[in-house]
Amino acid sequence: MTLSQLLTQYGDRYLQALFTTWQLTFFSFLGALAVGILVTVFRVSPIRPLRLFGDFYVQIFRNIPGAALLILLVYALPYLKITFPYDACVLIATILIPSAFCSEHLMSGMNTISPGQIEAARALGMNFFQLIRRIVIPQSLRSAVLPMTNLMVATMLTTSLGSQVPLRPMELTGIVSYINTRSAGGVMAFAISAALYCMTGLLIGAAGSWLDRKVRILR
Amino acid sequence: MTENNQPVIELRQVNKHFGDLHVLQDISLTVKKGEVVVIIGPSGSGKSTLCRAINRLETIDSGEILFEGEPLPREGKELAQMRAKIGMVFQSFNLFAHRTILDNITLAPCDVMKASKKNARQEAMRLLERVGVADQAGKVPAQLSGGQQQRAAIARALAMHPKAMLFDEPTSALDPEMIGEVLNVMTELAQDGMTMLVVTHEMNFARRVADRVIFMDGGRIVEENTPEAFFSNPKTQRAKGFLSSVRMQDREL
Ligand SMILES: Nc1ncnc2c1ncn2[C@@H]1O[C@H](COP(=O)(O)OP(=O)(O)OP(=O)(O)O)[C@@H](O)[C@H]1O
Ligand SMILES: [Mg+2]
Repeated sequence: MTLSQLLTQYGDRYLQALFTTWQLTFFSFLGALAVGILVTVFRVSPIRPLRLFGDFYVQIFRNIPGAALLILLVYALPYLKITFPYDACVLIATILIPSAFCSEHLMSGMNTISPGQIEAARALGMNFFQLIRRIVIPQSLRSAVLPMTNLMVATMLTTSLGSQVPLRPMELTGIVSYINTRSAGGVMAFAISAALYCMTGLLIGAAGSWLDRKVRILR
Repeated sequence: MTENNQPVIELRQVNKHFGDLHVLQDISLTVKKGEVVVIIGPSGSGKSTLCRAINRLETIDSGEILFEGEPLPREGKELAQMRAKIGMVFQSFNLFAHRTILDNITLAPCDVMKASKKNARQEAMRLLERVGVADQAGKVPAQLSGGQQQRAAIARALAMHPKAMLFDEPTSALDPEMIGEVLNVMTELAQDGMTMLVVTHEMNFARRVADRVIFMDGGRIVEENTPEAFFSNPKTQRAKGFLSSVRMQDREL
């Protein structure tokens, strides 16, 4: 099929798929950020079992392939009498994996904080949570905007896992399989999705650079 | 200076090792209410470690440290409460890089003392006036000169209404022309009756402001005297050597 044929016949579906990918990316990234921050707090906490758990968590989800995790969630968990809807399974997989990377970025962002600031906060009588909430996490986040931007793009690409389950509405990768089982969309059907991924990635990149300039910490 | 016999900071036979290095050796020292004690000594003699041990940024191996007559709590809420009562000023200022000067000062009063935002801000502005950097309140630390940052750091410590202030070489990282402005703030603080323990190599400041000078070397208190007696007539050979080397450096500057 030609580009114009594909667009007239499936244009609406592509748009819907783009919107679905955006939605998945947005919620996955938010979730990954929240979980990533929590795990990072565990990893620097004064409680050793929590630290070990945090490190273990990151090692697991940094090293598990997304497809394997999704298969686990969709096909293995029901044996344990735990069944999530398909969209939840996709969301969980696309939160857990990026959250491990998010924590790694926060840990390296933390290295930009001078130890003196931590001591100053301690000397003022701040406790662990005040220190984490007021000093450590804000500075780590603000120093990690660019890696987090890359993580958001990676999260967007991970949402293509949604094509492996019957997700409705379909996302950008799923739509290609859908079209190709119906008509001979060929390479062009892929190219449209690829262009939409690319465009989204560029948008995220631009937003990230803008945010980085805005919140970068003067030192 | 108010003569009052109440000890605020008291160290008894304090020992501390870093591995094989015996950094604090049988340190005993009392700082009474309203007193200004200056610690001087060569690099590596343990001055910073001593300062940091007083609010338990460093733990000690043996001996006792008392604050207002109470042993330092080991950890948790009690330790945090005790630290809040001891102001600390560092060589490298250590302002919070991501917050404005005003926020730097209100953060701990709001979080730790549960002060209202409005009161904390008023108090912060008053303190910033007092140290002469009120016009910088909206900037972030990196936009200030070293002298301004250090004065803001003093204001940050004062915002907690500390019962004593520790200064660890507060002017060592400053360009010469900014040292005076920080020392002036410290002098005023001393005149207002603040209890102060100051590690510094500023001999003139020690002469004018200190009630007592402590000379440390190799982890020990080697000499302890009034500033007049110490500077004009040091008793030990090590103090004599140290003083002449510092005076030499001062002349070279
Ligand atoms: N965390 C640490 N681990 C190991 N050794 C340390 C540590 N902190 C300090 N030391 C060592 O302990 C000794 C005393 O250090 P301290 O910082 O108290 O000296 P100081 O008198 O403040 O010196 P300076 O004038 O250079 O600031 C030094 O030999 C230093 O190298
Ligand atoms: Mg020192």
